[in-house]
Amino acid sequence: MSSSQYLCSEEEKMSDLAQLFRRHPEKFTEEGLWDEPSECMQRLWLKAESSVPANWAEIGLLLMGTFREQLAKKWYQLALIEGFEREILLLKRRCDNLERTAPVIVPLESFAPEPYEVVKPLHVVVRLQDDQYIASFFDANISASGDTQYEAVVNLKDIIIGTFEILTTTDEQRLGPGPLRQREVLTEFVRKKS
Amino acid sequence: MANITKELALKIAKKLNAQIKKTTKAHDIAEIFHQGKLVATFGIRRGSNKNLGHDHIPHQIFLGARDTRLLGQCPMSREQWLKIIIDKGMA
Repeated sequence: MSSSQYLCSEEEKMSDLAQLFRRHPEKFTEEGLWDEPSECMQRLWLKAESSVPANWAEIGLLLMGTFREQLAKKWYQLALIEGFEREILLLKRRCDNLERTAPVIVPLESFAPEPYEVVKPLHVVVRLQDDQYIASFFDANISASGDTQYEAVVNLKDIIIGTFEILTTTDEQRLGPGPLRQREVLTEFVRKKS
Repeated sequence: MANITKELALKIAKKLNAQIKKTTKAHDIAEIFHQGKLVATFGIRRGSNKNLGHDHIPHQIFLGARDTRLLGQCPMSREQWLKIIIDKGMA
């Protein structure tokens, strides 16, 4: 079996070998044949040295280019996702904060057990301010504080009754513009049980 | 911590020469008079804690939170406060 038969078994190498044979026919004489197929392969690689590295370099460059492109895309996507994550986190915090600090409107429909009744429901606004809840009946400019929303509303009821008592027992001539207006508003919403 | 504590609320009441009325269960009502007329009221929470929040007071005495603190801490006088509420048409 000649060495060329070993070479022929690889189709890819065949074209190279044929080219080499055409270029250097003197190398392929009887003396130039190899005894061992491995030897033949080694020599073939040595002879084909000039064409292969050029291809690899091109492929390498191509691969590097593609890799770089994909890496850039990936990096851009990651940066985008990171940006979105940060935005979502900020929005979540803002939502939590808004939920916590958003004013709540509470209708007051009773002053029980106090001997006062509500003529028509009055709406109070409860909001958070510096870790304190403030309940306000804006129409009458009466407010109260509390550690919780409930406490603030209960305190407001207490102050409304107290203010109502003071304003209704004080002579009108002794009331300034503010308290006079407060009395007018309060008498519209609150009255003493008979 | 609250902007206006009970301690500061009592100082404000004292500075404005307020009369304290014990009409309700949970609060004392501070009444402020000017020339014989009641011009403002505000509630002071009962309780031994000096840090009890009284952030509702600014609304009731027609001031902002900062001015209310100044009123309690000295720089603003009763006369200055009266001038402000007269300008606002509240006295």
